[in-house]
Amino acid sequence: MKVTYNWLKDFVDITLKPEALADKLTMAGLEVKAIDAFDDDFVFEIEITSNRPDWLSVIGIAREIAAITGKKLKIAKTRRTMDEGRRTKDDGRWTVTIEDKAACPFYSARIIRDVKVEPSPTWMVKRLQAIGLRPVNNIVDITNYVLFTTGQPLHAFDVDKINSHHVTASPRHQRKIIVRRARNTEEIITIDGVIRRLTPEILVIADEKNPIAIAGIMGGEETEVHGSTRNILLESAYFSPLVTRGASRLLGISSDSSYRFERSVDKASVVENSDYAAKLIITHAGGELGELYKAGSPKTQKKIITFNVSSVKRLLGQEIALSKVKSIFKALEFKVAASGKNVLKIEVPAFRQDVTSEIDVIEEVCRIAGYDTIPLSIPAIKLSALQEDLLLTIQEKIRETLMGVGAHEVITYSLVSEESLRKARVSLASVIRLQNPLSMEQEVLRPTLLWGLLTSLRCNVESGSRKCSFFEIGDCFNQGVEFRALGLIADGRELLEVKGIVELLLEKLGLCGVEFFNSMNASYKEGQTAGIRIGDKEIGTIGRVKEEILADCKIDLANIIAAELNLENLKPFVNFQKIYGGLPIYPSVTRDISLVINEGIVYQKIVGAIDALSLENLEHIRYKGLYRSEEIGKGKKSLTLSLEFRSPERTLTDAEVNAYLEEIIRKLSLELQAVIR
Amino acid sequence: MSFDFTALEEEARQKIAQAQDAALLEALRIQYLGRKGLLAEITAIIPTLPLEARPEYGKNANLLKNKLNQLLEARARQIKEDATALFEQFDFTLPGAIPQAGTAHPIAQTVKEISDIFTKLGFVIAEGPEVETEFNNFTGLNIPLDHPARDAFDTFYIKSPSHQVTRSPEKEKNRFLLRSHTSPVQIRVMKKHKPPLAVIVPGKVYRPDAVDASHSFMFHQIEGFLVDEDVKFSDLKGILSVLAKKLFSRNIKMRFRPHFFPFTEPSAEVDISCILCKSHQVTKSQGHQEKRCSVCGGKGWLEIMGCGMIHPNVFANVGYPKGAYTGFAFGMGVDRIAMLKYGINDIRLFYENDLRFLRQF
Ligand SMILES: [Zn+2]
Repeated sequence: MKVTYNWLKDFVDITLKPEALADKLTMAGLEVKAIDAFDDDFVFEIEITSNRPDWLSVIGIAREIAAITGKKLKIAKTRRTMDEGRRTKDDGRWTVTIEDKAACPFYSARIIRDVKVEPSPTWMVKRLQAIGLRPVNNIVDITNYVLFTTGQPLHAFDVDKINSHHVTASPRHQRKIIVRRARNTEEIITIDGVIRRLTPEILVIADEKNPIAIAGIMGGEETEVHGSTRNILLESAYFSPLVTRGASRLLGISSDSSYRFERSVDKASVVENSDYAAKLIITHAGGELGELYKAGSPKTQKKIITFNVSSVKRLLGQEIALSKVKSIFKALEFKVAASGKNVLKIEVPAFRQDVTSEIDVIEEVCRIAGYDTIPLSIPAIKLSALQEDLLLTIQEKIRETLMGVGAHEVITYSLVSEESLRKARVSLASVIRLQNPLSMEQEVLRPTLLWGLLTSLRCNVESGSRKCSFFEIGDCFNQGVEFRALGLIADGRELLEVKGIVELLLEKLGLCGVEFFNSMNASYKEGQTAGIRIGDKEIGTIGRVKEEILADCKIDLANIIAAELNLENLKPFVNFQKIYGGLPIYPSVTRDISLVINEGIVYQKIVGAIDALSLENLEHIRYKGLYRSEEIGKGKKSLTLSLEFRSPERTLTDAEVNAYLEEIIRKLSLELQAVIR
Repeated sequence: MSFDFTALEEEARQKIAQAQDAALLEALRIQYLGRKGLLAEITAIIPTLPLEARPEYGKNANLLKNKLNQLLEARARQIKEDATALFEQFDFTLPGAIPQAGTAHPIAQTVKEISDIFTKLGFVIAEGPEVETEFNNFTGLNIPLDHPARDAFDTFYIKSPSHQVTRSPEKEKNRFLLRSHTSPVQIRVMKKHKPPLAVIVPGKVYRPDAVDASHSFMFHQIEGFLVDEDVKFSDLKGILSVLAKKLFSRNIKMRFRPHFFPFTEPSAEVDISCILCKSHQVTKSQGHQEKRCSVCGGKGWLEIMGCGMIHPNVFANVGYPKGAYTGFAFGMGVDRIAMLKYGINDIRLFYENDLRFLRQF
């Protein structure tokens, strides 16, 4: 909303300089975004909050200035209600009909005859130009001038163009203005020369046959006021905010008029503001005031709010004197009456549709008294009934651990394209989609973090960073469920290394009984991917990303390892409790053994077989290496293990350890045909 | 008794030349020049000499003393040089081999920094789902059905209503959407728990904005609220000034401007004094302008959050008895705060994850 300093001065005495006034307005909730000098005036650009349509006018802002500076509002002098007007020519009676009272509760039409359409007076042209409007002619300019002064959008029709398409049968013909819904097949050419297709969602002003204006949004070209116009019909009405907004969005038209109707205009002042315009027209365009036709009712319900002044202190932490409260409301044109000790009855003026309950009244007191009058205090904060979700601690632990191994945290978009998921070989079968995506790039809620991690990797490969690991913690969406996930991607690390990072992570979370099992996953290379589970709960995936995916993503790398964990699924198994287990007293003895085994025998099988012996002094089994060669033979592999023995009671002798080894070797050769090298 | 100065000098020369370290050299210095050293002995006999021999003798003694000093000093220098030549000197001007340390995302760091300030004050962190019900995102928060924020222009809606997205089993009989703010978590928490509640809510939010340097369809917010029997606007001002001082600086100035939000009343927008130009004057638009501050545009103030006293209708919507509680709520954009704090000029940098960017935090 733009207003000028001098325009405001028509309605309130201002002694403050423009900058000081801007500051006052800003601190009262009318944020002044900019002040620009224009000729001998200053233009204020003010951001008006959606709850205050009354501020979308010079008078509304002047009223606020009066209240915050303690000056009187000078409205009565400037505006004067006009009389009924006269019918000087027998050019037929008009009827105004409203078909949809919900969409238009009140409509008024004033006839003014014999106007002279010409350029507006210089002062008016200057003001309109100052706020960025293009002057047209005196009639149109006055409707705009009154719109900005009062907040009431007006429209002037050329009377002689209404119903012009059929020859008036008799001079006493009933001429009609109908406020109705548009019909599906109807069209109108608006004043901007565009043909608009109409639908029943759109409210129109029509004559007997055709729409002549889109209600509250834009007039029609046909009935537009132009140089040769002599008689006009001045429309002033109240159109429903919802209907206006719907039509405005449907048609893609937003005008100064629709902007105000969308936020609601002051129904009670519809006629008064029309009279103000009529007066200006007669002053500046001559002509004779004709009759005023009305349909519907401008009545609004009287609102009286009981206000216990002591509630101000309870809510603000600062008392505001009763006398001050009273003067604030008087300045804002509310009626105030005492109703018992510290209780006021406040009558809300019709233009303040935002004030409906005691809290609104408190806000007004607070706003005009100034937020800076409220002191600062620190409340006693009691323990909340709400307990923090374990997920938060899990996330912190993960972040800490992964940063410790040199990984970088990333945040990527949760909205992705179908195309990207296809590239990442992610199934689209049960993804969740947006109803109204901005573009195809952001159509789907990500079911996995993999794509985002790949894009981070690509960005860094392009900028020359190699051998980096990235992780993301964020929500994923699939099969109707939103879940928190962790994703990790690594360049320049071997599969076992990444598995080690995952194992470290799971250990930090206190997870026991974690199992990696070979599985299939469309995004990972066959035979190189595993599921991760605890019991029968699947908690994640790890594997080597398919080379095709890297190629499709234009990532010039091979050997990318990724892992994903579903934090929601592993949460029930997390255990942060730690108990100190003591330190060993006696030294341990470590022996390495190398076994030649068949390809098909996995490490876990060997460990399982050794574990089955339940050797009481076998403390650790460690993997040392795997080795294949011609010498060993096809279909065979050599596995080296490191076995650590320790007794809690004494130092073990060589003989004892040898006996253990023999037992282990015997078992492995018997059960798994292992051969010691 | 007399001394052969030439012989003495020759002997000393040899001994000094043979001294291998500073300690031995010091011993020699004491032996010759110390209080009870050779030179002391030499000068001690002067009174016993015949008068005519004394000047010549004294002159020679002095020459010897000077000579010894010279020899000792020269040798000391030599020893020092030899010593350094023996070791290989480490070149500490070489750059250290910095280990590949990981980094936390600047948004996550900012979230943590803000959360930590509040948890120290006794607030508890809560999160909520990003896919929300229309009730929690709008209706519960006193945002009327005809409010423009509900339009598809301002909120992302989820496509298939058959795919009801839930994290918790509670279901709403209305549309699902991507939450446009973190405030629905207020509704979730208050529906489940009675006050006292002091809660801080970080999370992602979504709005259909085309991406540019200052807009993103996905960004982060932190929401906070305090509800109890007697929470006041002055408490809101107090708590938020603690935040501003801790997050930015002790000298930061703050102002509360009246504003409008459907879920709080009275509502305010909070400005802090510009962290770059530190000027507090309103724009001067007359005449020629000095170069405007790139951060605040010359206004001297930066808007950092919205806040207010929780609207009675919100309490009614979560089933709290009328008039039983008061509370405040506030919300801020984490991306914006991080941009201000670190001087980042493009929001997209947060989501590109270029290491050259990430490593700077
Ligand atoms: Zn600045």
